[in-house]
Amino acid sequence: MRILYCSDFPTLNTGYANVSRELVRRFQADGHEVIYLPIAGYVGGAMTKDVLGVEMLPALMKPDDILHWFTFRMCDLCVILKDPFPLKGIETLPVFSVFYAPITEDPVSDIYVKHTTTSLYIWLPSRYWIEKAKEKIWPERLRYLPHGVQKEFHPLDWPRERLYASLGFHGIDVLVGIVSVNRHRKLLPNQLEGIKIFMDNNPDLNVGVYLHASITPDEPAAIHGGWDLKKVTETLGIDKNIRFPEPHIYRIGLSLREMNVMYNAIDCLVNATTEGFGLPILESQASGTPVVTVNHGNGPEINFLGLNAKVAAWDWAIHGTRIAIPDPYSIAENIEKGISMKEKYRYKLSEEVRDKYDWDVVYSKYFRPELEKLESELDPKKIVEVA
Amino acid sequence: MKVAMITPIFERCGVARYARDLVRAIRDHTNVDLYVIRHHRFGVTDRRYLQYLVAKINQIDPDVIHIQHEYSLFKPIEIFADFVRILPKPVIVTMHSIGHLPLDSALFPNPKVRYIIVPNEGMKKVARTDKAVVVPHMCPPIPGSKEEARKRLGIGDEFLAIHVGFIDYRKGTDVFLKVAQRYRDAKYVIVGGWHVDVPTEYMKIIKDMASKLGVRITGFVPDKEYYDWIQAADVIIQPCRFVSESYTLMECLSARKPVIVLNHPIFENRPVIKVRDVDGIIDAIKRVRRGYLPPGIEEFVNSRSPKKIARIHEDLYRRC
Repeated sequence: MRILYCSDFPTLNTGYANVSRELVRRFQADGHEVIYLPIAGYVGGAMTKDVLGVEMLPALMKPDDILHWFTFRMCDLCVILKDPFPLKGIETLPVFSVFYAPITEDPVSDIYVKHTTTSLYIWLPSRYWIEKAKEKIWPERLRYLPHGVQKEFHPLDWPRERLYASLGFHGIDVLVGIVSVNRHRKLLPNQLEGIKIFMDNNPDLNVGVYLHASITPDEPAAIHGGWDLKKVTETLGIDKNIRFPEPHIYRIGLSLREMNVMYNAIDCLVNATTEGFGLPILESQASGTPVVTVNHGNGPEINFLGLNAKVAAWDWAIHGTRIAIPDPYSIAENIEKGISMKEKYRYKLSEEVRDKYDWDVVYSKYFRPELEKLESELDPKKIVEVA
Repeated sequence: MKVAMITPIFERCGVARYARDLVRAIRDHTNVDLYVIRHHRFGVTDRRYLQYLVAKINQIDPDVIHIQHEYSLFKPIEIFADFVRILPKPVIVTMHSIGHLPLDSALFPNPKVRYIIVPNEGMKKVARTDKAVVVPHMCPPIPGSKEEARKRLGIGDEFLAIHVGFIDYRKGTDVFLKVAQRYRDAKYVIVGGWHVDVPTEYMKIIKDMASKLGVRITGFVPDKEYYDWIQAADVIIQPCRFVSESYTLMECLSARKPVIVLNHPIFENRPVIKVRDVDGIIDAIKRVRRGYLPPGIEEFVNSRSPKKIARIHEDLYRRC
C-alpha cells in the first residue's frame, strides 16, 4: 500500500517520533511505500528519501493538508500517530485513515471521540484503554497494537559507581529517577513527594534523585502547564539530592545507548502517572530497572513486577476527565520494593520485557497482520475476495 | 466484462451491507470481473477526492462503472452529478433513495448514465426516466438457526420482539418503544445504533426511554451478531414512518420471520403484517404468538435469490 504517515518529525525528542522511527522503516521493509507528513517539529520544504530514508513532505499547516497529500499522491491509507485534539475538522475529511492515538483521560473525552469518529480504526497501545473506550466507541473499531522497545535497552555490567558518575552522582547509596516531560498531566510534584517520603523513611541512605525532565515547563506552558522543578524540589527540601540533565542536552535528546546507561544507573524509576502507554516504563524494565507506576491507565499493564502505587485522589480537567493522583506513601513503599528486587531480577526482568515487547516481535505479531487486513479492505480486488 | 463498483463496503451503513451481499452474489454467480472502489461514506466530498476516485477507476480501466448511491453518501448532494460528469466510462447508478429533484434532474439526462437501478415500482414512478430499471433487493442467506442464535445471545424461552436498524425518527424507533410500554408481556431489543460514535439528539431521547422501559439497545453490531438477532427473534417490528425500500425487510424474510410494518404502499403484495398504529402492532404480536405467519414468504424469498439478482446485474452490465 502507499501509506501517508502523519506524526512528529522523526528526529524530534518525543514518544511519537520514537515510535515513528521504528514503524516507518518496518512498513517500508514489508514493501509498503511510505510518504511522511510531519505534524510537529519541521517547518517547511520537503526532503527526498535519501536524507532520512523516507520521503518527507513539508510539515502540516492545517488538517486539510492531509486530504491534499492523500489525494494528490494517490495514497491507499493514512496512518496518524498523534493525539487527535489539535486536528480539528479531521473527521470531515474523506480520507481512509487509522488513528494511532493513545488515550490518557478517563473517561475518554468527547473531543477524542468526535475527531476520530470517521477513521476506519483506532489503534490503541493499551488493553486498559480499549476497555474504557468501548463505553463510547464501537468496539469493532478498536484495535490493540502496543508500542515496542528497542534492542539497545538491556542490562549493563558496569560498576554502580561508574553508572552513578555517568549522571553526575558520587558517593550515593541509591539512585531514584523520573523520566518525563514537564507537563501538568505528569503530576511531577506528587511523584517527588513519594520520593521524599522514601528518603525520610530511609535516613541512613544517601539517596540521589535524577530528574530527566526540563527544569521549566515544556512548551507551550499555557496549554500543557508544568512547574519550575527547582522551586518544587526546594519546597520539598530535596533540592540538594537532585540532578537534572544539562538543559541543552535534554532538548537535543539522548541516543538510545545513552538512555540505556541512564536507566541502568537508576535503581528504581518512578513513573506514577496515568499513561496512554508509557515508553519509559518499558525502556527502564528492558534495561533491568524496576519501575513504580500508579494503579490507573496503562502503567500496571506493562509493569512486570507489579509495583503499582495506590490512587490517592483524582486530578480533574475542565471537561470532566481525570487522571490519577498517586498516593505518595504507596510510591515510597514500592520504591523500597523495587530497589530490593533490582539486583536479583534485573536480567530476568529485561528478558521478559524484551521477549514480549521487542519491536520486531510487536511488529510481526500486531502491525503486520493489521496492515494485511487493511489492505484486504482497501484494495479493489481483495475487497471482492473478502466481502 | 470488467466492472468497477463504487460503494461504501465495510462501514456502519445499510448501503454497505447491501453492497457486501451484492458483491458476494456477483462474485459467486456471474462471470463479471468485479472490482470495488471503496467510497468514504462520512467525509465531506471534496473535488480533490472525486479526482482521486476517478484516478482509481482509471487504474482499473473497467468497461462499466456501477455506483451505489444514497443521498447522504456524497455531500453536498449536488456534487454527485458533477462526479458522474467526469467519469470516463458508461455508468449504472443504483439509487437507494430518490426524489431530490435538483440532483435527479442533473443526473438522469447525462448520456454516460445508461441505467438507473431502483428496487421497486414506486421508486421507478418517482424517477420518471426511461433509464429506470427495477431490480429488486435480493433476499440474502441468513446463516444459523433460532436455537443456535439464542444460545449465543444468551436468550432463554421468552418471546423476543426486536426492532432492527439505525436509531432514527424515520425508522420509528420511538414507536417500537411505545409498543414496549403498552404490551409488557415480551422481551424487547433494539438491534441498532448509529453510523458514527457521536450520538444524535434523537438517540439520546431513545436511550433514555429505553432505559426506563428496560429495553436493551445493542448498538451497531457486527454481521454475525446481527444475523443471530434476526434468527433469534419471534417477531420483528419495523414501524417506519418514511421508507422507499427496506433491505432489512429482505433479511428478515430470508430468515422466514413474521415482520410487522406500518401500512405503507411499498409493502403492498409483500408477505408482511401491515397495521395502522400501536394498537395494530400489539394485535399483530398477539396473532404471531398464536402461530400466525404471513403466507407467501417462501415464494417471495425464492424470487429474489442472490443468483437471480446477480444475473440481472450482469445482464445490465453487458447491455451497456
